[in-house]
Amino acid sequence: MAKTWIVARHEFSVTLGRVGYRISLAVVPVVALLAFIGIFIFQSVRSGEISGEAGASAETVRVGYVDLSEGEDGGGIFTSYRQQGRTAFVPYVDQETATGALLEGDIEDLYVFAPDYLRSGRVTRVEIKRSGIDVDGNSSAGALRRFVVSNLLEGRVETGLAERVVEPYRLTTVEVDEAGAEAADSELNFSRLVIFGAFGLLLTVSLFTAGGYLVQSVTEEKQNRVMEVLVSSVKPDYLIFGKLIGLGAVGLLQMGVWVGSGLLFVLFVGRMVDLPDLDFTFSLGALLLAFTYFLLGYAFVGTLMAAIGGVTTSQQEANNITAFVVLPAVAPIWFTNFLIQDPEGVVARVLSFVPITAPVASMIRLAFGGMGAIDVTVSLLLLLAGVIGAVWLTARLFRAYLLMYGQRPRIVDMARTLRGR
Amino acid sequence: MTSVAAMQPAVRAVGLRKRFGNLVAVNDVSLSVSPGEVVGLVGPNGSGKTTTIRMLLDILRPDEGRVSIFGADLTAQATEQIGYLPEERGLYRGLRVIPTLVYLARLKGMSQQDALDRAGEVLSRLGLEPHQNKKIRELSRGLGQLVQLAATVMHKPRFLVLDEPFSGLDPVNVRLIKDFIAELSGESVAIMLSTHQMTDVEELCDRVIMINKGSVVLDGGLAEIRRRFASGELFVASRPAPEGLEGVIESRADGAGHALRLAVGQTPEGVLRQLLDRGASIDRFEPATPSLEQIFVRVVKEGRG
Repeated sequence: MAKTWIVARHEFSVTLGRVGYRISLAVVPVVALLAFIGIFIFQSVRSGEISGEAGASAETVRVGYVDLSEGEDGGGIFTSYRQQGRTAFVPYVDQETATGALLEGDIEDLYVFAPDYLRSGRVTRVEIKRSGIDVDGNSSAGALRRFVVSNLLEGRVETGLAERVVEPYRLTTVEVDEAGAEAADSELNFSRLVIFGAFGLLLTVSLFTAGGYLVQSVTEEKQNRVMEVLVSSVKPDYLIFGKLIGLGAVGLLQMGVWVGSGLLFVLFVGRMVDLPDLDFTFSLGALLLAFTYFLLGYAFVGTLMAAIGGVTTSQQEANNITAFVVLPAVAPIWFTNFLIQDPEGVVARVLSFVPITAPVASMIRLAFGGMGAIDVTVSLLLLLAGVIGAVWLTARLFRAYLLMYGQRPRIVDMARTLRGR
Repeated sequence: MTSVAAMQPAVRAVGLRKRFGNLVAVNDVSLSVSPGEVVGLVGPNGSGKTTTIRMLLDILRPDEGRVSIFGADLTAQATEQIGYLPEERGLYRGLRVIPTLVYLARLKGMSQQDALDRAGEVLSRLGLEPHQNKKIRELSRGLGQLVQLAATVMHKPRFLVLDEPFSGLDPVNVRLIKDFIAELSGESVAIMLSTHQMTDVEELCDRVIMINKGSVVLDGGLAEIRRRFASGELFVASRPAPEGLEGVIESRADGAGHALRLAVGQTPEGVLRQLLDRGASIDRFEPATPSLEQIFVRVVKEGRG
């Protein structure tokens, strides 16, 4: 097995050195960076803070208010809870001073609470008249609502009740099975969707990228005649495993860079723009299951792609034929509706049990919570058997046809080879 | 090397047989090569040489028969003692010379550091040091072949298979490789040289194995094979030409001299006496033995017949 790792390291470093790979690796981070710069400039222009103040404005949004309201004690109502998340409410004694601050750019929004606010609820939002369409809307509305409600309830109800009024509920969904028992992972709907959805996407992209590199690697080694030296040094199945691991790592690195730059993008942009809060609960079990499907799925399809590289005579020819493997592998995406609406139906089960479609189909079913433990077990066992069979098949074809240059074997010849004749 | 290992052939194949569909590519081939021996593997195109070589290297599995390396089965560890220069040559065109050598040596079981150290030695021996940092695609065809030979011997193999090692090389590099082969042979490396150049076999090999139509048709020392195929003719180079001699039923020009076929009862001594009596100046007078090329052509033609 040591040679498998040597091959894997070689494939990894050689692919990393390819200009095409480096470009594809950099494209998402560069686009994310450009998008971030664009959003940053847009936000700065909007705030009138193109200069060094832009950094500070990304931290806290200052919203001014003039409290003319009269509470029960005759004073203003809005004296507390001025910090609402990233929004700081800044009090001004009169509208004239506050408007000056708005025009100066010290505050982004200005609200004026009317003297009869308690009776009428009147609040006036002051904004600067600009030509064109107002695209930013009222981004501090959510913070304003919490600020107002918190102040209205202060001292009137206990703190816990006040918090519930501000945020009436935190919704979670609990699923029960047909017997009425709560499903073990019933609270993980969103997390499950993210984990299985992400790995399904990862697998799909990896099949196109790492799988493509795999075919390219094998056909190149056939074309430049290195293959004969390689197979005199390392057994074909170890060679295939090495390529799968090395190029799988290449695919994972690519996805890691893409996903990482996407997350960084969301993180940094999230500091400038309010994003909805999502309730994500990490589940190790779901993660392991998704990763298992990913590994077996990649190993199965990748091995078949290596076999195609081994029996074809050129990169072009190999690319044409790999479509017959990759398309069935990602085909369950077209059946997503079936898989969601009838996750225990015949179509869903067949797609989850046939090795070529199993990884993507199962991940879609799991993402939407429609795959039982028995189906998962059967699906994984069949997929594992498929991987072993694919490696056996590919190793035999490698031995027989890897060193045939310039002519592709006929299907009947390959069948004869697989039968050992 | 232990004394037992020294007595064992480097490679021994017994009863190899390989079919591709209905074609029997190799049929009952048995052969061996001893340490320090240089054996020429010859045969016409499609005779089964490459298939035989690939079975010796465990690239192809024989349908029948068995291969052993220094007495051991052809395991992954055993194949690490073999170096192979294939006829269809090529390397990673985008890779530099040293990483190429190190990678291929590591696949033969060398450690990274040993491979790096050994690369320096081999490149120096083959005069490739000035090119060690170049990419393969930047090298001429001849230099590329030398790098491939370097890759073949990086891991210090004890059994070396060289398939057409001189093709495409200029005379200087041909001499370099011939000297290198002789040097390796002196270090007890068993060498199998597959080539169509019979003069190279005559120059370098101790023994010849000829394969035709998938079977071994000749296996023996060069001198012994030549004697076996000798026609009983005399080769004479003299002035005047050896014509009109008694007891000579045919005289035909053959290169720088004449081949004489003697009548029954005539002896070489009788012919020599006649020439001396004539006062002829004799440059060469010897039993006519066929060249390896002539033997090759004859065996192949007989096989077709």
